[in-house]
Amino acid sequence: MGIFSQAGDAILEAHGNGGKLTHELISEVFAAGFKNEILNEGLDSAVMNIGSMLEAAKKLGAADCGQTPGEARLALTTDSYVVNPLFFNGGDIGKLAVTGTINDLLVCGAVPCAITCGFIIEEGFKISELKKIVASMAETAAKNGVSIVTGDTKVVGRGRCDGVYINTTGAGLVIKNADLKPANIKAGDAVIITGVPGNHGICILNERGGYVDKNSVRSDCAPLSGPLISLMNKVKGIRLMRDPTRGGVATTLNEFVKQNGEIGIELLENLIEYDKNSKALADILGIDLLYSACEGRALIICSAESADAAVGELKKFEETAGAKVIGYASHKNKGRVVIKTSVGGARILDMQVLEQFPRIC
Amino acid sequence: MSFNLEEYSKKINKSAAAGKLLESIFKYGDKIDKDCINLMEVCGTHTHEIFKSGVKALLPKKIKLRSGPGCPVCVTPDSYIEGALNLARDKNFIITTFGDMLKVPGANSSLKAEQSAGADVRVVYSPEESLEIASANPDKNVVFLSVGFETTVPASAFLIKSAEALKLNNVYIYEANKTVPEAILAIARHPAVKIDGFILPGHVSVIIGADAYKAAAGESGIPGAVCGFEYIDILLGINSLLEMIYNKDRGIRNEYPRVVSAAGNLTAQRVISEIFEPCDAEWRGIGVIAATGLKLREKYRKFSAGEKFASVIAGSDPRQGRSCSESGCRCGEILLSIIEPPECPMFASVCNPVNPVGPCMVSSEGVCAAYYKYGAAGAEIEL
Amino acid sequence: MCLGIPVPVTKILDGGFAEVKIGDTEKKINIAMVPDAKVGDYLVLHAGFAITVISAEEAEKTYQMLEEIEHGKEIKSIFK
Repeated sequence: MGIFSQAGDAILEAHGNGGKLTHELISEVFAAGFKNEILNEGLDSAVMNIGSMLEAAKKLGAADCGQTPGEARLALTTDSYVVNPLFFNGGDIGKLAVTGTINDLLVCGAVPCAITCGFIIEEGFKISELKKIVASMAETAAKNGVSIVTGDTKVVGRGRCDGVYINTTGAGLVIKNADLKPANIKAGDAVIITGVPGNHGICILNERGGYVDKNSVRSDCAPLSGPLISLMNKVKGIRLMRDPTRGGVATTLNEFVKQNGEIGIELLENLIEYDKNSKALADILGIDLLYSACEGRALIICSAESADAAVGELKKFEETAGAKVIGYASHKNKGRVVIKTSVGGARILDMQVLEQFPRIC
Repeated sequence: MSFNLEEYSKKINKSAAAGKLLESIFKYGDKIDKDCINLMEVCGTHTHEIFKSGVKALLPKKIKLRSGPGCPVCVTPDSYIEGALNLARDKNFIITTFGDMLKVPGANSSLKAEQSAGADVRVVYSPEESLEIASANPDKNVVFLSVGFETTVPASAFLIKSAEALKLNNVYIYEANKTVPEAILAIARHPAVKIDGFILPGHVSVIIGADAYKAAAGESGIPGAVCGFEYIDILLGINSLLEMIYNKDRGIRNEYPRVVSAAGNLTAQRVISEIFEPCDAEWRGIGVIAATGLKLREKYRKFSAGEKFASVIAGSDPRQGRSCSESGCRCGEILLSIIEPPECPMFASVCNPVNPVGPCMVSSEGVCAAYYKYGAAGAEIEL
Repeated sequence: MCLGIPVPVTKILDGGFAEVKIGDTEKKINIAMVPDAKVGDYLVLHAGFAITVISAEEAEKTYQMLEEIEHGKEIKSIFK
């Protein structure tokens, strides 16, 4: 250990200037945490062999992404993570970053292979905290057969960011014959959610507001590699998948109908279940969980005939044990999402405009 | 008898009884000899629940649900918003507020915008959180934005009592509370307002009691039903109201007796009158309605931010505080149900939740917000 | 104008407070307005305060009336 140990536990501006401290930070925190051959090469770019990626994808859930590099289709995704607080019940910004990236690839029918991550760190942030975040990312990545292959570090002055921001790019190989897009949705198709909605959003709200014991409301942050790769391999008739993050289930379903243009979606209020503690808190605060973010859920549209098989396959996995059909695509109410209520009436479920705050009215 | 509410809720929310109530509502609709039956939902929460539960889409077209001024945020005058913003901008203050107020637009800012720009604005679930914040920040003045009807007034009253007991000298409230019964009478008397029945607010009534509306009903001749918030409660209330209209009954009925009594919560009423006294109040877009406001009694005036910090509240810019008429906001007519939000030329175009011209578009109970969120009154939903 | 949510009392505390159940966890709320509240009662919670106790007796009457409506009896108001 060189200058590092003398610098103490705080990130200094010099850690971002590309010089000695930057190199020590990379080797002692990032490379040490993310441990893989590609990262260790220390090049400006991660150079990857598509053939090796194909082999790795096969090992992960026996997914066929093509027999030769020529048949392979590359999926790329990018995301930025600015969650506050950085550590919450059920995860942290690091786990969230890797999870979100993995899930974005999975819902396009891709097997995640590699992730890049750029860190923007506030001067004064504790290195020991950074190490926890890195460890969390490494653990999540390893469990899902994904490597963090390259990255970047910048340091900004105090007050210029909330501790840490993380940006990622994820790369994956698309499963052969996977063709998932909003245009595929037809009237009669089933709308499946892989578990109870809105837990992440209400967890963060509670972390900030301290309304109830923080252990009682937990983020649903979780990668869905096992269930979604299995689903794509075993069940035909999957039209489209998406993870309902910001704006929740309501917003994502509205994206589907707007991007498709020919159908509407009808949800059945009686079919939608919620986590008991999340719902109890949401009711007190006047929050609608259908608009609250999920970080470990997928919305899946599939043909009516495949719905049972899809739900059956998803239920085999812990992360998606709560999978169920919650509605249908329809010729009616084109371009809209409508929810049929317990009394037999209906209301429009619009896309979120502004974020929800606790209310008394 | 051991009472389990979860079991009870499952029992009462039964679609079969709802079906029969709807049949009855349709029958009354046919029997009542009018082209259009106007029922005013006094309370903004009722407006939203009626949409949300899907009941709105099921009622006969003849029944027009008109929204009333029962959104305490919506009826708060522009000058109050500007005052709150001036306090927020001043580094000596920490503003505590219900989340409902956060996005309300001032002339060119909002509490949320000021918060983003560095103002210490904190959303609280209960006003009592202001006490801890004040203790932890002895060098700042903590001002709670005291907005709300009688359901919420006791919370502010208890805040003042606790501040007094704890001898805190840096806790204040910026008074804007309003009361309902006199407002209902004023609405009933208004020449442009044509209401056949009032759907009375369920939780305000918990505090003031169902009897509190008798004077208003008697004088105006317009019947009212105190109504709960489950869809079955809403149907019971509407059915009862139609029965009264048909029978030309001028009374008040309490259709939420498991929670509302005739006399109300006397403990709550006592604490309100201990701390507050009635005064005239300005209702945004409507004007001053006598005896519908609450101000701190002399003994507690020291907690009044409106008095103590009048100069900060007034601000330095005499041009600030754009009135409704200047902005073109037709909230007054909307709050009195003279027009519906889609009839306002700015609705959903110039005025929308991201760029609201008035509070009705952003308040959680705001009628414009409800119409925006749930589409054109649910009439277009193909069931 | 009011978000009022029913919650069961699990414990009465000193100074006019009580613990109520929110899901599986407890929250401390102010019961100064319902001094006679006891464990097992359901309170209507608004902005951190209980504004009333839900009357089990009245609740049962409402339910009975709805049962009668469902079975085709003439619809009467709950109000007497």
